[in-house]
Amino acid sequence: MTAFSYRHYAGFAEQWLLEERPHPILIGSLGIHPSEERKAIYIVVNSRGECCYVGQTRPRSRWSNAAAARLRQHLAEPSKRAEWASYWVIPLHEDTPNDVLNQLERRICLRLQIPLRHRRSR
Amino acid sequence: MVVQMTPLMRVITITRDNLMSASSAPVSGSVDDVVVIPLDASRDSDDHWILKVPPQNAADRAIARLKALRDEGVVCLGDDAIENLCRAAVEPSEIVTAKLARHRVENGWLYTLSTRVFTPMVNVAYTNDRTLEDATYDADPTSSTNAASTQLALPTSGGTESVLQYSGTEQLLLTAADRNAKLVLTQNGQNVGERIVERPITLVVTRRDGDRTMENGLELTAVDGNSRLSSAFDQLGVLPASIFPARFREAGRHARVQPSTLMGMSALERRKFTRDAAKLLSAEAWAAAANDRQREHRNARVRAMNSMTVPAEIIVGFIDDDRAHGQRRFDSAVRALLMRMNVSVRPFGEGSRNAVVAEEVVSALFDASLITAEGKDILIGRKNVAAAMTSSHLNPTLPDLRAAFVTRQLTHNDRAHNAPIRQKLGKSSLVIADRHGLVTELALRGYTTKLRDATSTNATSRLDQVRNAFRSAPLWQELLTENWDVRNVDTDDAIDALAASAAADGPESNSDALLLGVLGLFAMTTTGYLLAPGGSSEAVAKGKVDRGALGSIVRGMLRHHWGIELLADAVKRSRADLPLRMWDEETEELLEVPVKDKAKFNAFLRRRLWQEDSPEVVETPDGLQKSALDQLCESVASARNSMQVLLDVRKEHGLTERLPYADVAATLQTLSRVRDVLVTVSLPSDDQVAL
Repeated sequence: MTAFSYRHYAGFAEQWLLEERPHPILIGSLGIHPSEERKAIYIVVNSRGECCYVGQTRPRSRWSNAAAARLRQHLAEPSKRAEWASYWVIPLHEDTPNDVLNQLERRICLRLQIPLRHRRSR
Repeated sequence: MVVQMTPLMRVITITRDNLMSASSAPVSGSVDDVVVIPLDASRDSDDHWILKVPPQNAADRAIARLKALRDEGVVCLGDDAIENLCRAAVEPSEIVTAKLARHRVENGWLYTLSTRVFTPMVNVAYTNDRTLEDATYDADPTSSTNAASTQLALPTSGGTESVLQYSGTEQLLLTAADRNAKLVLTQNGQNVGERIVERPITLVVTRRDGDRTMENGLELTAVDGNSRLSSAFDQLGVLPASIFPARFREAGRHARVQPSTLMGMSALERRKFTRDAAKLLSAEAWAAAANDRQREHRNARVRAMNSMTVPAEIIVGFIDDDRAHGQRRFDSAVRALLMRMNVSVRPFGEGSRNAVVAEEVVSALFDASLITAEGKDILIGRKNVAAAMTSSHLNPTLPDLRAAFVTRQLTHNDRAHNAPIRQKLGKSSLVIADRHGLVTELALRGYTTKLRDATSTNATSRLDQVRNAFRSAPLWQELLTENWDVRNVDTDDAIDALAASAAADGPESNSDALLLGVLGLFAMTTTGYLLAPGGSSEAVAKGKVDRGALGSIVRGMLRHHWGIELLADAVKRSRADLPLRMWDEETEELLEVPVKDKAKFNAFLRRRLWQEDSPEVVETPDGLQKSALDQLCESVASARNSMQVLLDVRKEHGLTERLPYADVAATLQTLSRVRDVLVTVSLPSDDQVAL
């Protein structure tokens, strides 16, 4: 995952993209740099820069910095804690429809050859 | 002091006489002997322990003590109830000194007294909360109305005493009690007889207000421990006619002890019966036995003797947190105590638990005047259903209308309606999931007979299968947020009109659409055509399917005209007992789905919804290319997974031989071709961006 490929994936969001953030954030610094978005796609990479997880945030209540919050939930799992090193965020507009979010997440997973999981259809 | 002996240990009482006579101690024979288990250290002149029923006046001090406790406000029973209780005890002197125990229930404190009681002086419960989900109900229009299948109403609080009150005719009460005893005996028989009952059963004072032709409308009945008590009755065995009151002999009902037999005796007759039975059993349990048959008879008497008493925790009082309620919530308190005592072999099935809570919620809604008496009868579904439906202008022959009514009443989302649900579930805020179980249990009462009659080939009844399907969320959000109501759409034309109206405006918020949705939901699920999401749907439908819960499927259907038509058709066909129909993909007509192919209906419906609701492919060239690339990525990911499966199989079974060339040649070639072509249509790595 590089800034260049980040820009490409962020481009999938087209008009729903809030802004580009072509820099990874270290997992250790969760919450230190609060951000504004509530809906986002996040891509997690390990210490070698390889992508290992893609997810979306879609909180029901009105908090910001949603990506950090969601990641904190994930990090409760020890296997994830061991591998995950930093993450990239693709922040999206508040009124991004849910199926756009789903499609984005799916497409990025496919491009990165990350297994789709917990999908309602397989 | 109770001496516990292992059942098959031989009794050897050492007296001079016994050493001489061979027959009083059990001799080795082909029949193993059952041992009398003594309840205290007393022995008679032959050094045998016998069962003694205390004389009338032995209970006086106990009665006095309980009356004193009543003055203190802890015991809450009438004079006759206190007397009845004390005379049922094996050792009334225990009651004089016993300490009352306190149990916390949802809205107050229950007080209980522990002592051992005589089995024939108490009784099983007339209804059994644990079997609620298996019962048949009047709410089902196809059920017959003979006494055997009519369900006795759950007891209510008895005014100013801590007493449960049953109402019903004498015949109904007697039949119900016998039926319950038989049911728990066959389903959960306990090993009483060779052992005494050791774990206390819970008793509550019960009054019957039926016909007063019964001599005594007051007795102690079991709240918990019906199986143990019923097994004990069974072990009392066949008793000679001479110890029963005369009128039973004449009617020929003198052989075995049954709940109805005991209920027909007055308090005095019951005590005399107990005394005579104790005397008889004590004598015959220690009798000489010269051969196997006599030994078997003696064993039967010993088992009976061991079953003559049972330890009990008797509910004597209830103090509501809010004194103003008095004893009004006593029945709920007892039920709450029962539900917490889930330690016995037959726990509350989820269905029965939901059923009990649902009935409590309905009672609470009625108390708050949010539903009428007719509404209550319809919702509970035990009696007067047809009349109540008719007076509410709903066709009583249609269970789906009743189900819609149930759904509507339990989906009102305002503070007044939510309060009882929150309270009964013990939650501070409600989510829609809390209502699914309540709606399911009450609504399904209209289908109990119909679903039970048609037995399927495997063990789970169709009713259980349908109940299982309903586990996946039958309700959806708009039922709570929108205003809708139940109308009497009881003809095919009415359904067609409903469908037309549903298709007119924005369907989701349209009241008629919601009604059609609910009717359709019950039509499709109770006929077994719509199932909970399952694994085989994809294979049957040959493609991706919508794995949503029942409610979300119906909600999805309401968004499309074809869905609305299908729902209407399903309602009409299910009412006529015809197989449902599904859209044929080519001809766009409704084709009948034969009953044996039911699963297809479920699969095709879900597939159609998935196709409708999946994100649209953008038809621009770029969009099409992106979709095509998605598919390629997916296929490659799938190929990689398959490769992993192959490796796992080889590893697990220790296959180290390399694969034959003929097996992999073509695949290898395809893989490299795909790779090469992909490279030619792609830019090289990021770092070397074409300028």
